Order: sequence, then C-alpha cells, then structure tokens
Amino acid sequence: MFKKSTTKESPCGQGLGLPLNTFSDEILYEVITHMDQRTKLAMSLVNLRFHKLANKSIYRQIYLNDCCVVESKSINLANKWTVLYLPALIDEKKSRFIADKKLCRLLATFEEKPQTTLKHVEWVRINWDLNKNLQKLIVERLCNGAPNLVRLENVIDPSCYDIIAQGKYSDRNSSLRSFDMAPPNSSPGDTIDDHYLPNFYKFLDSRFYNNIDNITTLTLFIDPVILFGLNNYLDQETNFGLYPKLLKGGKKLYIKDLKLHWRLEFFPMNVFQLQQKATKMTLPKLSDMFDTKTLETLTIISWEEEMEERNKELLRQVADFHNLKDLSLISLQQSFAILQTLFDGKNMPDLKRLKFDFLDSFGLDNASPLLLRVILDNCKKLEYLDIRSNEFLVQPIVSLRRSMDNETNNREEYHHQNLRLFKFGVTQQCYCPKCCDYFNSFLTKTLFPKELDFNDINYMKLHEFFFRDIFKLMKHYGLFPYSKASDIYPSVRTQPMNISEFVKKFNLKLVLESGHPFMRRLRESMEPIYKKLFETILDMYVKVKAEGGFSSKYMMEQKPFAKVDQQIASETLPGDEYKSHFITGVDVVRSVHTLMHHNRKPYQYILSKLPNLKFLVFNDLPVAIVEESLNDVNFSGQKIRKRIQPAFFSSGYECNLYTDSVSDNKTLKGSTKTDLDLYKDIILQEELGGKDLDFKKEFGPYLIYPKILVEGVRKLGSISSLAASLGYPKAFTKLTSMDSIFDNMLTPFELENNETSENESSESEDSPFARLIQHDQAGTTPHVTNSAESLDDSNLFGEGVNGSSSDQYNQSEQNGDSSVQEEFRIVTNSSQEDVDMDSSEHSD
Amino acid sequence: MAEQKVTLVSGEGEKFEVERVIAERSLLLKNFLSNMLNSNIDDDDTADANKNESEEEIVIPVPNVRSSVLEKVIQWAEHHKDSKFPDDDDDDSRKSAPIDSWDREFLKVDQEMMYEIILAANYLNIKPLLDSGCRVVAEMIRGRTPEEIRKTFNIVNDFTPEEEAAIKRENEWAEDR
Repeated sequence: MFKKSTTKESPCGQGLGLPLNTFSDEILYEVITHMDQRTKLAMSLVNLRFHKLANKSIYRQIYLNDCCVVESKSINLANKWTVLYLPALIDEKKSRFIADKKLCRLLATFEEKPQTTLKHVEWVRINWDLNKNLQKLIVERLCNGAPNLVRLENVIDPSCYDIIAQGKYSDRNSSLRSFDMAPPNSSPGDTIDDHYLPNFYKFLDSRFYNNIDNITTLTLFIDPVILFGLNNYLDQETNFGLYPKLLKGGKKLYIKDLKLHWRLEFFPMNVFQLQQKATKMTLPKLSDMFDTKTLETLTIISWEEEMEERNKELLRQVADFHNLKDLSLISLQQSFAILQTLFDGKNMPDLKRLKFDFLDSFGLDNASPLLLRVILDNCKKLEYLDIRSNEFLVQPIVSLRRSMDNETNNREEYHHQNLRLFKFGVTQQCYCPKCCDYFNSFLTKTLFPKELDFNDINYMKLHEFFFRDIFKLMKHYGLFPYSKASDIYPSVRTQPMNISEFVKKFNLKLVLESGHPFMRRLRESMEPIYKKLFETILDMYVKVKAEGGFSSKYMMEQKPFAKVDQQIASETLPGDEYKSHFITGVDVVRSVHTLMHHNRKPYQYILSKLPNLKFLVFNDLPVAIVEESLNDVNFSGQKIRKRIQPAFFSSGYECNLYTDSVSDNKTLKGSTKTDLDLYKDIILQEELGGKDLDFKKEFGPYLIYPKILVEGVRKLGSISSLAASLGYPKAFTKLTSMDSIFDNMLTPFELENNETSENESSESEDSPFARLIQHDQAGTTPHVTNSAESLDDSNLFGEGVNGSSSDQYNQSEQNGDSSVQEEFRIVTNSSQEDVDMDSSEHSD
Repeated sequence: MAEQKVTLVSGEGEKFEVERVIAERSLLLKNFLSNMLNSNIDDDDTADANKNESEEEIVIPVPNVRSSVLEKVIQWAEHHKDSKFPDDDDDDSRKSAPIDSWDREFLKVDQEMMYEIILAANYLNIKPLLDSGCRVVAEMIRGRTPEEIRKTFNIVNDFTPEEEAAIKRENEWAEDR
C-alpha cells in the first residue's frame, strides 16, 4: 500500500535538536498545557515568548487551596490548575498561614503585572478556609481586572455580592457565567443576619434578573423552590418563593452546571413549611425551574444528618434531567430505593461521570453491592466512576468475621462466647510473586504474626487487630488523597500525612500498645531511653522557657521537639531485629499494590460492564484505565487491551489485570532487584521527591520519637501512669514530681483529662472500648472522619468494624445485653493496669 | 461493499491510497470529504451520487506534509482505526489520559520527524496524535530548569537580569517553596 517509514529512530527523551522555538505559538502553548506546574514555571523563565505562553497556562485556572495537594507521578491529573504548593506534614493552622501568605503574593502579582497575569484568568476556585479578607481582595481584583473571567467558584462570603455585582468584568454584561449564592453562615442553622436576604435579592437583581441566559453555572444553599417559587404556577393566595420574579411568566433557567447544598437554614420559609405547603398543593418540580435539556452537571452536597423528605423528593426529580452527563452525590445518606429508581429506568442515558460519596450517621458509607450492580447495568456510557463498595465480589484481605458456628442460644453464655465467635480471616486473591511474597513475608509475619494468635481472639487482640489493619488505617489516616473529581480537580490530603508519617503513626501504636512479646520486651529495654528523653525534653522545656516561653501552640509543638528529634535521630539504634516487627514505607506501598491486586475481580467486573470507563476511583483509590496496544509499531491494525494505572503509589506497580486476558498472574515476573531496593526507589520517587531516605533511621527514631512520651502521658494522664503502664511503676519516681510541668507542656496537645488515672471509670468511658459501646448504642458503625489528627484510639475503630465487631455489639444490643458493655469497662481498666498481660489470660 | 478509498497526495506529489475511514481520522480531511459529498449530492441525483461515491477516485492534496511524515501519520491512523478517543472539546479527559504505549513507541523517532508529525497533526487536525506528540515533548522538558531548557533546545535568553528577577517574583506564589 505504501512504503514503510525509513526515518531513523532514536530514543525519545533527549530533546536535542527539536526546534521547539520554531513551533507556532498555538502548538507551543499546546505543549505547555501538558506540563506539570513546576515545568510551566520553568518555561516562563526561558525567554520572553515562552514566558507569555507559559503564563497564559499558569494563570488560566487557579486553585486556591489551604491544604497539601498531592501530585500524581504517573498521570497528568488536573494539571490545568495552578495550585498553592503547601507542605505535606504541617498542621491545618500552619498550612492556612502559608496559603494566605502565598495568596498575598498572588495579589501583589495581580497588582504589579496585570497584563501578563490577571488578564489570562478564566476560572478561580477559592477554598472556604482561607483568610476572609484575602478572599474578598482576590474577588475584588478578579472582578475588576480579569477581562476573561468566566467562573468564580466557592465564593462564600455574602459581603462579596456587591464586589461581584459592580465589578467591571463581573457585572451583568460581563463574560462571567457563574452565580454563587453565599451561605448565610459557615454552619447551617445559625441565626441569619437581617441584611442577608435583602443583599442577596439585590445581588440577584443585579446579576441574574433579566439576564438569566448568561448564567450557566449556579450554586445554591437553598431549596430552589423556596427561592424562586413560581408565580405563574401557583395562584396568588398560595404564591410563595423568596424571589419569584426571576421565573415569572414560565421562564426557565438554562443552567448547565448546578450545585445544590442541602442544609437547613432558617430563611423566612424552611423545608418544614414547604412540606406543609406540599400537603395542600403540588409544588413546582426542579424541571419546572431548570431546563432539562441544558442541565449537564448536577452536584448535590448534603449537610444533613438524615435526608429530609423534601430532599428525597428532590432526588427523585433528578430523573427528569435526561441530558445529565455528570452527577455527584456528596455526603448523602444512601437511599437505595430512590437511587435504584433513578438509575434503573435508564433515566440518564448519557451519564458519563458519576460520584457517590455516601455518609451514614457515623461516617463514610459504602454503596450497596446491589446499587453498584444497578449502576453498572444501566449507565453504560460512564467514563468516570467514583464509588465505595465494601466486599463487592471480594472479601477484605484481613478481616474479623463473626462465625455463626456453634453459636449459643443461651444468653448467659452468649457474651462469654461472643468473642470466640470472631474468626480471623486472611483472603488472598492474587497469587503473583509479589503478592505471595507480601502475604508470606509481611502480612503473616510482621502485620499479624503467629505469636499473637489472632485465631484465639480476646478484647486486647480485638483492639490490636484494629491498629494492625493497615488497609483500613491507610484510608482512615487520609493517606489516599481526596478530590471532588480526581481527573479534573486537584487531589488533597486534608490532614498532615504522607508515607513516612503513616509509618511513624503505625509503629508508634505498636510500641505503645501491642501485646506482642517483642514489643513488651522493647518497652522494657527502652526504659533508659525514655529516661533520657524525659531529661532531654525537660532540658528543652527549661531552655525555651528561659528564652521567653512558648509563645504559641506551633512553637510549642514544633520547635522543642524538632530539636529533640534531631538529637535522638543521631543515636545509634538497634538494627535488623527491628525490621521484622515494624512496618516501613516500603511495606505501605506494597500494601497499596497488594490491595489493588486484590481488587482484581471488582476492577475486571466494572471494566467489563463499562466499556468507555477512563477513570475509576474504587474505595478511594484512583486509577486510570489505560488502553494498551499490543502490536509492534510496524504492524498495521491493532489489538488493544486495557490495564489499570494507579494515580498514586504508581511507581513499580505491575498490573495483574488485563481485560483481554492476554496476561494473567503467571506472566508477572518478580523484579531482579530486592523488594527493599525496588520500593526504596518507589518511595524516593513517590513521596520524598528524590530525597534519600535513611532506612536505618526509619526504624529507629520513630520508636523513640518524643511524641511517644507525649502520647503516652496524654493517654494515661501522667508520667507515673505511663511508667506503670510500661511495667516500671517506679522507673520515673524522680520525674513524677514534674507532672505539673508536663501538664503544662501537654496542654497544646489537648490533654483532655489529667485526672483520669485516678478515676478509672472516667478513663474507661473515654477509652476506645467504651466509645465503641457508645457507638454500638447508636446501633451502627462508629463515627469516622478524615480530620482525625491524633492517635486517638477511637479513630482506629473507624471503618474497621464493618461486619465484624459492630455486628457483635449490635447483636448484643438487640439482645438487650448490657453485660457486654460492663465487660468492656473491666477489660479497659485491666488494660491500663497490665499492658503486659498474656493474651491467653483474657481470652474470655 | 468495498471500503471507499481516498488518495492523499504529499508535498512531493507522492500518492498514498487509504481507506476513507482512515483519512477521516483527520478532522480536516473528514470535513473536506463531507463537503465534497454534499456538493456532489447537490449536483447530481442521489443514485448518481452513490455511484460517484463508490467509483470515483477521491484525491486530496496535502501539500504541507512531506511523504515520509504523511506515511507515519497514515500508519498512526491505521493503527487507531477503531480507537475511541475522548471528545476533542473534552480538554480534561484528553489531557489526563495517560499516553498510549503504542504511541510512545511510535513517537520514538528523530527530532525532526517528531517536529513534523506534530505540525502535520496540527495541520490535519488530528487531536489525539497532536496530544501524544505534545505530551512526549512536554515529558522531554519535564523537570528541567530554565537554563537546561535553553541549552537543550538552543533557545536564546532574551531577558535582562532585572526582568528575570521580576518574573521569578511574579510567579513566586505558585512556586514550591
């Protein structure tokens, strides 16, 4: 047909000789849009022409975040945004401080160089928690200096209404297409300022009224029916609506992107009154107000603990919008019946993007397997899916499941047998060499060692299981970044976390609380080190106080301990023996990879059902679906297979899933490098930005990290309690008199109850077990949030008890068995008195 | 019915006969063919138009593309004959999709060829090929300092030290420090 190419081939990547400078502006700009933020910034410094083009891309979309954005090393995730780089391991307050500082710098740039910066801005998303005054200033600059401004997202300060309405580039005649209603208060249900509604009407008048065709993106914190009512729809007597004139005469809003916040506010009319009216008449539907052909993107964010009947009705009405392409339901309670109807009837045939972020009363909730099946069967055009679904086609890797075998009907025997009914289970789905190695050398040796004998469960082991379940903890500690839409919006970590920090937290927990004989011995052997630590910290305390005291929480938390850390890190620490008992960053990455291999069946099932899927976030792990051509480049025709590509923790990942079954587990070969070497590379690339990691130190400082002390004292209330709990009641006799000093030092760490060591019942009520009981009394799984900062035990129960302990406790509640609660208290007290107890002693 | 053929004529006058569906990977050629067909229908009755469609040789000159480059572009289009790409206007999906591994191999060519493939993809309006080319170039540059970029691509620094300092200050808010 035509001759083969005879061009010389050379390795791509050197770039030498490529006449980059001779590309047209259009193509060079196209190249720049594929770059990450750092490279774009470097391009802006190459020469004048590059500067102009790079700035066009840098300033086009700006994401004003207040916490750390996590970059993907394998995929160009949301790279059209320019974000504020913030460190990963600083607390919320410090992070916002830096973000505000950067925002000030941006404002100065807008002021000094509007022509090369501000004029390119098209879309800005502002995080709510940035400094309010700075938010106003940035809105003011954008509205009066950004001629190409199209969208202002998340403007939540009502005092910005006037700025936007009167802005040179944001008034009714401007190109700005978004209209954001600001919530009356940061928290729902607070008293509404008298000026709030009049100002809002004024804002509607100036931007929306007689201008409805120009607004295509709308955010509301109010039920649209309460706001707009419908004049023509209702007779005069029953007319309502805070702002009915907008849709007078049967008009509809031609909104393309609608975001509805469901929250209870005490507007002149609220949902309860609306429901009362609804009993007397038919309320207008969403489709009476919003054009069904135009609406493509709908986001519903619920602030409710339980979905109001009115909002259930609104959710049903979503089915009228047949042209929807993007639907996100965030923080909603899962209502299977409504959702099934919504998706079952093929109401949204063109839906391309779907995100479920369900919550129940106590935390994150999984979509039911049945709902997932309904979606997979009906939304065939999905290209993006974000869903959590526990135990869909596959058991968790580790689990504690309640066995029904030999269950007694005798209530008295019940609680004695209750724990014995739990069966520890390990499920291996993938048998590739890496997974086999993971299960054989790590999971069953380091994570759940035989010495702990989880098959014979007791309360201590139950507790230990939770803080060793690395798969749950990775999610719980926020190691997996979150995004509204992983491929479009930046992914953030909402708490200070990365692999190293995770390792630190995990190992600390082992040192402080594990019943493993090695850990007990370690606690004993570390007594002199603890002593040294006390002395060092006290020394630091005295020194810093002499220098003027602790002026702020930050100073208190960071400075003294950072210095102590350095000192401790320089100590020579025990070597290899530690490695088999503690986890490392390597193990964390291996765990993520194993988890992904373990999910092969769900991935395969989902991919088989959704042929167009390009991006999947399954159980918080984002992956891209990559089409891979098998043919040699010199062949014509193609054979395509799909594989998954993790967005994070991707280096070194070997896929065990190919949709055409060309490759299966057997084809995966182990690396010639040792796992340690291999994963060291991974961590260097993934998390540490190439900075070398001293593995020896990794095992060491975390174990004797000063926060052990702080956490220990915080947990037990005093140094003497800590000493006792470590099995050395007299170890710190001299130091116990310094308790008061430590109390002061611990204040910033939110020492909650210093007296509890003397009041065991009080302590026990705050203990993890007691909290678990409290959760149980509410009848469902305990609460879990992503904002947990400390090693607070209650957090560990997060999602970890689904189908296991919660079932047990629910069962006991259903049986009216209060003795279980009592038993928890007893065990908790015991746990403080005797950390070293042998597991068998408490198996009953 | 046999696939309709289209003959593309390169800048040097060399002819490449391809299936119409392959040529239509280029939006430019697709529109050209579509317009041509419409004008044929206007001119003739429907039956004649169908006859013309299947029997007449369609020749499209592509004067801006050299033979060797056109050959590569056709090779790419044949390989991706059945590929489903994100919509051209779906910028997010296009830019976040990882580069196809076959494309990566395909683009392991000398720099001059790479340059011309990108120009051809732009001229012929083949967005997925343009994306792959631009992505590979972007990856060549990734992580380099301004000085390294200048050196690698023989670019002259036309900033004064003051201007350079001002730009650093200007974009400081977005820097990783």
